Amino acid sequence: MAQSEAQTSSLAREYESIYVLRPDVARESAEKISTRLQEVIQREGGTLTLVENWGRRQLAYTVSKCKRGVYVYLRYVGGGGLVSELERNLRMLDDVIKYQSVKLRDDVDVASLTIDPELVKFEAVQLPEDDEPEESYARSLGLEEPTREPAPTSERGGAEAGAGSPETSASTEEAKPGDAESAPAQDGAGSDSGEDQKESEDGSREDAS
Amino acid sequence: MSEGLQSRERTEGAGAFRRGRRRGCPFCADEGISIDYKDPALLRYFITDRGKIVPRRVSGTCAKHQRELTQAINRARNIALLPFTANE
Repeated sequence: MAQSEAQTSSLAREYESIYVLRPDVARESAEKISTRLQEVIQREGGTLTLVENWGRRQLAYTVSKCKRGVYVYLRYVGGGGLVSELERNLRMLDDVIKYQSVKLRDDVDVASLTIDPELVKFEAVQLPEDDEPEESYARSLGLEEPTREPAPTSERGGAEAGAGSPETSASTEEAKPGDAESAPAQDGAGSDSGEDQKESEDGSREDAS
Repeated sequence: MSEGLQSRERTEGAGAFRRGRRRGCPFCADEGISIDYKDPALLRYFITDRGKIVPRRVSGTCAKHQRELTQAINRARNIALLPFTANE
């Protein structure tokens, strides 16, 4: 229904999608995926307005055993059916490990859109070789001390105004979960770790017997 | 160790012994800052080391912006730009 609405009037909605590719994805298959998605958008009567390749990034958590991923960002205008069709396609592609679509605006006038063909082109960023060695098995088990990477210092200026308080309070929050009356909670945490130790001792004892 | 922690709590905690003035909402103070889930560097100021969202009473954000912040952080988590928990 939403689609027919979008077709009868020239108003549509603007969406954005991000999809994450495997870090070892070949350049050709990344391009193939991009053209396939562009075809889907065209077929469903949508208009692609922006394609960005963010390159290979560190993931905040492992996804399908990958610690890094290649982020690609799409922005397009169309009906709701387009999003579900696009997501169906993303789901089928094996190189895509994660995707997310978000509605940006309602009631976008398609006729007034100006599309820069340069912005819609998918640029396969030359991915440098994965120079970071995979974590060794011993390290993943915590047997070896991990070597600390220097913390990224970029993009700190943006939130200078309000940065101070949340960060410092973040560290105090860490020190004391809960509120001012968190003393019992802390005691609980302390005894928790003690229990853990005891448990592991129990385990080893069981092993011994 | 727990003693040290508690004494620090007394001096730095957000309770009766709070130091410094209470700050207003950083997003109300500067209209130029937009809350966007695609900007994890900004959102990182509003999560703890363990990845939890910093509560309003600590960060000082207003209700409106805290809602936007929460939504942005959850979206960023979903696309692996921010962690759900500390994974160490």
